[in-house]
Amino acid sequence: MEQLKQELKDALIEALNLEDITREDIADEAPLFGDEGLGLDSIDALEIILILERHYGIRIENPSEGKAIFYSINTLAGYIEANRKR
Amino acid sequence: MEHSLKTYITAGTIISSLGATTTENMRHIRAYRSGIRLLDDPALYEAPFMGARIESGGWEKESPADALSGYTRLERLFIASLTGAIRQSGIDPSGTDCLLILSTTKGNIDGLTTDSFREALFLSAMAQKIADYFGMSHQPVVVSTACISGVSALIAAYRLIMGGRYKRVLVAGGDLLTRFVVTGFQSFKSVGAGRCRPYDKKRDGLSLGEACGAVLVTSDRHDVRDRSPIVIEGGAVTNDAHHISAPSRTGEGLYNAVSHAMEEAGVQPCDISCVNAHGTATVYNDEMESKAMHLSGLDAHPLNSLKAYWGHTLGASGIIETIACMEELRSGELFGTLGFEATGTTYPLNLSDRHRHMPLHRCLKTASGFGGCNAAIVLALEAQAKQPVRRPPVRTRLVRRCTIGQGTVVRDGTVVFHSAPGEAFSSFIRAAYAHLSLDDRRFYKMDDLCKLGYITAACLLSDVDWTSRYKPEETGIVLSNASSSLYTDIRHQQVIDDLGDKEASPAVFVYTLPNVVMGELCIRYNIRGENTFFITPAYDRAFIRKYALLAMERQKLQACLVGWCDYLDGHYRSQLEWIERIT
Repeated sequence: MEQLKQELKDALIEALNLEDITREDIADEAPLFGDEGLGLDSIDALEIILILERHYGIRIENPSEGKAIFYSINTLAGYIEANRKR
Repeated sequence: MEHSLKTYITAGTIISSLGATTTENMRHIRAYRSGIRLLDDPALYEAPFMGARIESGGWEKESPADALSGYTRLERLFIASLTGAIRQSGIDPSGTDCLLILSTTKGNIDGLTTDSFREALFLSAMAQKIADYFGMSHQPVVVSTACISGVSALIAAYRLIMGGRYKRVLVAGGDLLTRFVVTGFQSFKSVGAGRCRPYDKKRDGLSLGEACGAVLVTSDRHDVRDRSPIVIEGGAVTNDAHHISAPSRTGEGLYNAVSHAMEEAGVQPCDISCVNAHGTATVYNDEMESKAMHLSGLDAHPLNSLKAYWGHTLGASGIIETIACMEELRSGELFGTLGFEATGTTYPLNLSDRHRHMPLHRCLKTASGFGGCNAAIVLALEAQAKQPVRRPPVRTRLVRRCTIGQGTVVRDGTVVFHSAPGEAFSSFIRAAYAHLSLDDRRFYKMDDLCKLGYITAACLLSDVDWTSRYKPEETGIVLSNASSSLYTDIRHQQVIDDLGDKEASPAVFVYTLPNVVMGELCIRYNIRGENTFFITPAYDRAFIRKYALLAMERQKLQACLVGWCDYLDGHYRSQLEWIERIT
């Protein structure tokens, strides 16, 4: 699980062009979206959907389903563990 | 003789999935026929999807045989539709008082390959080829402001005529259904599973389409052969300053466009007979529009969306839908919103899936698009139209200028920052960002065109205080360039060519529109007024400044960012100026 979280952080930094941010800046429980956390937006959510499909074989058709899943690194990693196809 | 102040719109020609002439298109709409069907064509997308395509056949007859060789498919569509508009109005397009404005988002993007920049990909080269075909005197202008391009181009034509610059402007809008566009909208999860259902409870996204349309905008009533002439009474463009792709949550930007357009026209909501809205059938767009119509006092007015007939035809949509509005005004028949069954927006709108006969005098046409832009235009039957008001000419002062090129940032003649000779754009622009001590997460997400515009504006506006003097909707942006978003277009094409249709990246695709740089600047500086992006072969500073002046003359605009911002394959050049109206 810990490895998956680190892997996710790297994938987000790479795919979402979070250039000034390192793994250490992303707390596992901090919100990813909104002004409080990383400040991700709806385009980032679509990019995360692509990451889930590409790396873990998880399909999310409706972006609004993603809201709870994408809340934090913890929720995202938990969902991937439970649903991953690869 | 006194120069007529009225601006007529006439000779509308539509080529779409519903036919090669306006008459044919209207006949199909009246019979509730849609051009949208299930397209199973791997050249467009790896899976079947709902879209509307122009079938070959009919329309080719509209363009003379000599037009068929040496021109791309889109160029031939433009030539065919313009030929129709010229024939209907009987004008001489080569006259010195006549201009051509093209509205397109992606032009000849079907010819994009990732290894070379072909001349045809440059929108102004395409426009020049079309202008040359008709022997036109003036260099044409391209408006490329995402999905509002068509309405925005009509407003540009109207302003240039009202400003006395031209007597006639031919306006043509066109976009093709291509793999480029389909993969992009699929990556945004914006494409609905079935035929689009604007404003309906069960709507789940848009249907893409392709079309081309042309009209003549003219101050000369002799060009108008219609039994009931139609005039343009006003038009406005605004920005949400909210997000580069997501529609506003409040509808305020569209409300501003609507109210500014009505104000220019000198009309109240009770003077508007009907509204033809954008109505793409994405959940968020239609919801935003319902809020904007409520704010505008227009939610009880008869309203429709025509997207379920033609699909969303991007740069053509504002033109062909306006032509439909003209038909509706003349016939007193408001077309039904095909597929609408039950209210699916917070504020219920006055919709029907059936055509409705009613007295129609004046129509409001709106559009909204990526980059947060909104546009609204008011059309009326001449018999009921208000007498236009002549506006006093506006004078402006140049407050500040910033230029970036060859690794150097210059503000008002002083070098602010420069990098080592020959330094690559990416490291230069980062160094400039660091030099200006900026801290904005959005910067790293931007494509190179936006980074260039962002740094130029940051340097330009760092110590200009306008927020205490002007309201956000009194400030605007008029920009131009030669390369549109071509460099990012190639990145999107590369992704789908190398990885596959379903791997298209929304974070790349969103930047395949040049006006998104205006969207970024509007968000950063809370600029909410005028938003027009022109494509010209070289920077025509006089034209851009004149256009900002015309917008100030006709609209609330008090201060405006004007200029040039061009990026292509490591070559870059920008010049932005902040100008303010002298009162």
